[in-house]
Amino acid sequence: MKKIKFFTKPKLLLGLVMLTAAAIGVVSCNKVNEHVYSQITTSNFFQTASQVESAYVQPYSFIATHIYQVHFALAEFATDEAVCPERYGYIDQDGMWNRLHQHNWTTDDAWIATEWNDMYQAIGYANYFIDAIQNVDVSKMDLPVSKAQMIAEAKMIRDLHYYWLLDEFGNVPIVEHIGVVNPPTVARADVYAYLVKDINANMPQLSHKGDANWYGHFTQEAAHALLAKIYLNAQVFTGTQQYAACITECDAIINSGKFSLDATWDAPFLAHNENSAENIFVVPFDSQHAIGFNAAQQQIHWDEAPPKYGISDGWAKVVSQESFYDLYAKNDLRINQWLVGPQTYVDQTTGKTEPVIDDDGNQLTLTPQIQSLGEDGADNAYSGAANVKYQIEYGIYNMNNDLVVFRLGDIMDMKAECEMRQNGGVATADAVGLVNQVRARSFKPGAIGSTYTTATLTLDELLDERGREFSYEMKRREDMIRFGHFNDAWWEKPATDKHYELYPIPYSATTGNSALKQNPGY
Amino acid sequence: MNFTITKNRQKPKWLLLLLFIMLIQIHANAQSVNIAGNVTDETGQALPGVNVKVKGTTIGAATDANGKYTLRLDNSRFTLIFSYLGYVTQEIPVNGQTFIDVKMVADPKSLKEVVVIGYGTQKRENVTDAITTVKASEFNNGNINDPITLIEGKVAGLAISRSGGSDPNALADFQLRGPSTVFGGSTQPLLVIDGVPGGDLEMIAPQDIASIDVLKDASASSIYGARASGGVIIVTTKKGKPGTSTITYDGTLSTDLISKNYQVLDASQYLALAKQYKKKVKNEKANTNWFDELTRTPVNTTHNLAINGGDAKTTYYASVDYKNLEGLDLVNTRRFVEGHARVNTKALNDKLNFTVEFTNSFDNKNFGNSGNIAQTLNMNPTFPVYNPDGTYYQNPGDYNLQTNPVASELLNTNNDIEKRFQGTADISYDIFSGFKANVNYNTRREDYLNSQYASSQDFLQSSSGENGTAYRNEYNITDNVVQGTLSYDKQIKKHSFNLVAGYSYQDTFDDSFYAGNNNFPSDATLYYNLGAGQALTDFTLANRGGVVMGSSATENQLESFFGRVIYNYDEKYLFKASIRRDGSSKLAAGHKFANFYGASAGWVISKENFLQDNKTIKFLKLRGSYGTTGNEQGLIEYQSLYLLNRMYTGDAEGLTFPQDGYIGNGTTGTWVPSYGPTNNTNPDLEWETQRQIDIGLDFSLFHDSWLTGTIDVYDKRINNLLGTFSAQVPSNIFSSIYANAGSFQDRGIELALNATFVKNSKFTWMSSFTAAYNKNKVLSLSSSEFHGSAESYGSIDGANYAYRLAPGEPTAEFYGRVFAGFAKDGSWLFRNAAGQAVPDGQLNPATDYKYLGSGLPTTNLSFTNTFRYGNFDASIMLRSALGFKAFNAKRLIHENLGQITRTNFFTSVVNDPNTLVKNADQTFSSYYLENGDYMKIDNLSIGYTIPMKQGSSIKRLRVSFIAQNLFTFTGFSGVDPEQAPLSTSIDSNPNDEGLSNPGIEPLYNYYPATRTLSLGLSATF
Repeated sequence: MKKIKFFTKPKLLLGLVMLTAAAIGVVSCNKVNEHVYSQITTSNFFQTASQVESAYVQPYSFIATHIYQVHFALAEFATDEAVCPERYGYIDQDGMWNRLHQHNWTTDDAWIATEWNDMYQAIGYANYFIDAIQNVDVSKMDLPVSKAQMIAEAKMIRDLHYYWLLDEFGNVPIVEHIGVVNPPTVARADVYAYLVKDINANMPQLSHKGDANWYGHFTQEAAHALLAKIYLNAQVFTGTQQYAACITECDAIINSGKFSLDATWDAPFLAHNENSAENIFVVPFDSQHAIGFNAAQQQIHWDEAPPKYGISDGWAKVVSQESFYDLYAKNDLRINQWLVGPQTYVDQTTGKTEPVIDDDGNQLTLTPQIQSLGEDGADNAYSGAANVKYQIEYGIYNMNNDLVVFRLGDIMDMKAECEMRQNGGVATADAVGLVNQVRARSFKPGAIGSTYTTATLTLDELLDERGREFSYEMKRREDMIRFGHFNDAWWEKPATDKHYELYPIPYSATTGNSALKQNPGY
Repeated sequence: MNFTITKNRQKPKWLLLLLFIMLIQIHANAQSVNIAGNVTDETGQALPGVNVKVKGTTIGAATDANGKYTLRLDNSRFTLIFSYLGYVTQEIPVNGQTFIDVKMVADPKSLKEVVVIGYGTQKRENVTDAITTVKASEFNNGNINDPITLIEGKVAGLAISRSGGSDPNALADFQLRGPSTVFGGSTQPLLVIDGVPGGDLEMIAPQDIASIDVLKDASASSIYGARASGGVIIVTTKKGKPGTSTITYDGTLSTDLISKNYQVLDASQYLALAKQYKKKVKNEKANTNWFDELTRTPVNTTHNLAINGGDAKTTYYASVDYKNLEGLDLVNTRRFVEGHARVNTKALNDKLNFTVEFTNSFDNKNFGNSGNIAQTLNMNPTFPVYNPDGTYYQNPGDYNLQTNPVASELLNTNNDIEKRFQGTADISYDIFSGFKANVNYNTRREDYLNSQYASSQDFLQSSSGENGTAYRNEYNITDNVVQGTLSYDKQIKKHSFNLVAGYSYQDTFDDSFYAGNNNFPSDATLYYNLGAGQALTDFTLANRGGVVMGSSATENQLESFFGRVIYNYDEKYLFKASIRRDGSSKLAAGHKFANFYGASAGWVISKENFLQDNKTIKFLKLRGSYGTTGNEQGLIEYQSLYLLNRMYTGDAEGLTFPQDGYIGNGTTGTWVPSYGPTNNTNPDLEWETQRQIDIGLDFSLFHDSWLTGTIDVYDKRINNLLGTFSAQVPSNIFSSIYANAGSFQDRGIELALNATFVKNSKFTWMSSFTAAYNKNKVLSLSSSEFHGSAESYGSIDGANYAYRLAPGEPTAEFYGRVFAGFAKDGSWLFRNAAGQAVPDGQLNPATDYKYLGSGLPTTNLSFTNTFRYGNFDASIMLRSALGFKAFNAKRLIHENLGQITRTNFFTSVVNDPNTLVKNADQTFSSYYLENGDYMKIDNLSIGYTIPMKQGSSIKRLRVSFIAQNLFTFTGFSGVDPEQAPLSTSIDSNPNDEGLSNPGIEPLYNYYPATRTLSLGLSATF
């Protein structure tokens, strides 16, 4: 009764009108769904051929961002090859350079976590692409490579990173999809087995060197090289040698007829090394399209970089250890990859050769000898041989040189090593022939000591020769471990325990995943 | 005749009686007095409707619209009682006076006052939740830049800190009842300004605020559901009062004086130190005090002019606010102009209430790079500021380590023009008695235009070849809220009901665009002619790093339904319950909606018979509440989707390049843009929820209730903690994920006491004391997305982490190496688990690192005393925080000998050579942790009200002197132990400007502690 009375009143109508208006306002916009404006998402990408291409090359691009960063550091500074001494009282990177040199890194070291994260980031990118492309209909797209090949290449990028993980961390989890929870540690031997199987499974879908679009991508030859590396180190990885299998893979490359040694030792490392006949797999760099390779900046002395190379910043961070520099004979052409002694430059305008002037106003003179790792009162201002193996173009600090991962010279030396190891560590004629072929171009014809004999090519000599040939190519750590010299004392490093042959699973990873098992000794 | 006479005689008897009565009355009239006067509030504004009662009688009157009253009394020996809701009742003996002007003093803790509870109000004595109200009369005085600091030290459990010091462009941080989230979530309470949630306090003039209500427990805040995990702060601005127009003016003139500062070595001390330790350093033969070169004594002025008035139907309030503030460094300024207007009107027989409110503000901010002040600590004191030719000195071959901060300050321009507009229309209609409908619409628009120019003369510009870089960024926020409520009030005998049902929809759209260019032919055009930069068109230029362009937009919506029941029986048994359903677009599909609810009950014990007329206990209420809330404020959009982007890489020279992929055969081919995911997606992203139990006691004691107080104990638990956590790598792509992980707990006790020791017309002394103790504990850290057992965070220099989040420990818990001394060569020795002192390399983090104490204070205290004697008034506030560790991260560098070529040192290393770390890395350990406890004389104000003649056009004139942050008692070595209370997200890099972490004075961020001295003038016309 009362209600009816109220509803007849005009003032109540006004109230109702208000409520209705509010309700309309409400109903017309009551959506709480995500509206995407400026974001690119999986669902609005992968629509055109160029979008698919952009997703396909992305895992490759990522390699270029990390390979010359921490990955290089962990492969080189933990060896007798390269070092970053303290300069002007400045200990860089929270002392990490020095801890790498002295093998006293810990599970909490930021760089070790960075390397772990970089490796799995690359694997994550590959997994994302592999899963995202599965449901994309590419039949109407004009793509440079087939969907099957794109997926196989992404899997090979994943395998390359699992190989690096196998080498650096040993016992690591294996994931093929994003979203797997608590992936457990897989024993090193099982990671090895997984890789052998996966690489062989993907090989047939890959292209060959010389096919369209092969350069900088995973070809069948690159896959053979990766397998060869894994077999070569099988003794370390699994405790069982696989030298015969390694030789098979090396032969697949050598006998393919697609590669030959370059005429000079430095040809694979030129600024424009894309025409090298020797390189099997490279990470392409470009000063405009793919930066991340700044060896000149890292290595050249600050007094020398501007006048000689037209580069405003030189850091003189990375230098070679004196003992490593001393491995080179004076007549070994490869010794020219170091800047030592009084430094000069050619004036760009006058064409005259002028001395490089140092901080103290004298001619800059670089000494292979480094006073000390730490400073202890002295300064290391002009200490250390600087490496210029990769050609530096004047004025270009984001270098154009493509970074070499696998090359024929290495494959030949690997095959030789396998033959020697199958022969009880004694060189065979074939092994000596292979090593001499690679070495020959580094000497003037007939130079003293330029060729090995079955007597002179011992395993230790092969390690030294590999050092000379593959300096700064991120092979030294793996080689020293395989030859059993990684734990030796050198320069400011004491003899260290064998457990340092593996890096620890980073603290951040073990606390985030209880299924991860720490490596022994940490 | 006789009969007639008799009759006639009788008449005069009546008449006589009448006459007699009249005579008596005339006599009495001759004895009576007319008493009149004006009643005003403390600011001199007329107070209409004040009850004026004659003590012991029923005679009384009320003040009119102009605050005037008149009374007629038959003698002058009466006493008048002046009472008004929310003000202290005053008794004034007439004593023959005929004009009695009364100034009503607001009663800060009046039980009769109205408390704003969100979508309604409640009488304080009926409130069943933990809510603290602070009225304008209690606000802090002085140079108030950020309005939230008005109530600093006024609310037990609300920690407010000005970690930016007196920097005019730094906002305060605030946090209620301990941290409520970590890693990316916002833990700040929700701000509700005049009923609109999510407002921006920066556009409100402090003088326009009438009261601030702080909803502390979850039952109170659950009416705001998903946004209320950090509590709710309701700001109510002033309304017009009926009566003649009143104009008020408030102005301050202030300056900031440095109270604590870092002392660094002068040139001779620096060179001597280098010589002593055989270090090679540069000597440019000057002796520069870099700090003095970069700083000034700022002068700040503020003005606020307000007018209000109206009649019984319509009232208005309008104000203009102006601030001109300077920072300590040479260029930092803020100029603020704001206009505010509010009109309330009634129509349709007063059934319709209509309010329209507009606020518009302009902010013009110039930023000095706060890194420049920190840079003064780095500068080699032998470097001069200028070369002999007048140009700026720069250290050649410098890797940006000791660039001239004065040059950097003066050759760079960085400013913000911020425009904020807020408009509200609010209609309510009384449909029938007690049944009311309300619709509220609010729109808020904030436009930020950031402009930057780096002169071609700047060191970084010339050395990088950018040669002048200009940049502009326009950023806009558009926010619309529609809210509708129906409410019903009903009193049935002693049963009182209030029901509210409502709906709310909010849409927030952010968009921005920016552009930049470099290589400008002239510095004169600054950022006003972006096209003049040659880098955009000259493709041969080596450095085109300033060329940028972009735009972006995001949108989110929040839809809510809510309802509430409030019931009481005879204002003795009290009950309240509410429910809210919130849906947010930011969450993953299937997880968007969640329900939040609260319930509370109270028992006014003092109304029971056994306490009636008790001489000691005047009022006593026991209350308890339980509620759940969510955290919407910290949510980031689109985190349940993969967001793809083109890959870019920055190089060592600060240039950014696309990171493309190659497709080709080496000689012919193309570089293809690379696109990949930029985030880990979380398809399970859901609401963070909090539940809180609160038990409280409100009381007023003794004669005239001179002591009132509140005690609360609470236990809050946060589940599904939202934030950016370490992701499992693998299988995630990136090392962090936006996820729900774990839970934690805050437990605490709060006490607030208010005492009126003396209160008479000559002298008043009131005190208030607040104490809050909060114990925070992480309960667990794992969930379906995050499986961690613990998490290190708070990186100081990219390598050292200062804190670790772990079950059983509080947030902001310092964690790491335990200092055990120095080895003979000066390197660190740390304590391992076995108790041995070992070098760093032998330390195993998993077993040897220890929890070292939390950077969050457990206890916050404040003590305010206000005095009034005649025309003088004074107040002093002390504030203290106790029970925490503080880390002065600058010691990592400025006491480490290894840094001598790149920094200067604190004089401590000369005064006490033991403080110099001689041969060790900058490694964080317990060595650097100090006791952070402090006590501050935070606010001291003295005022004098100049007596005005009756009828003067100036009704009231008061001058005051205020000192803020006057003195700090602490043992901490840094400039100020008061750091941000974890209110904004913990940043992975505490060195970022504007973000700091509890207990950490950042490495590269530096603003000296200052005391602010102000002169104030306020006048009422």
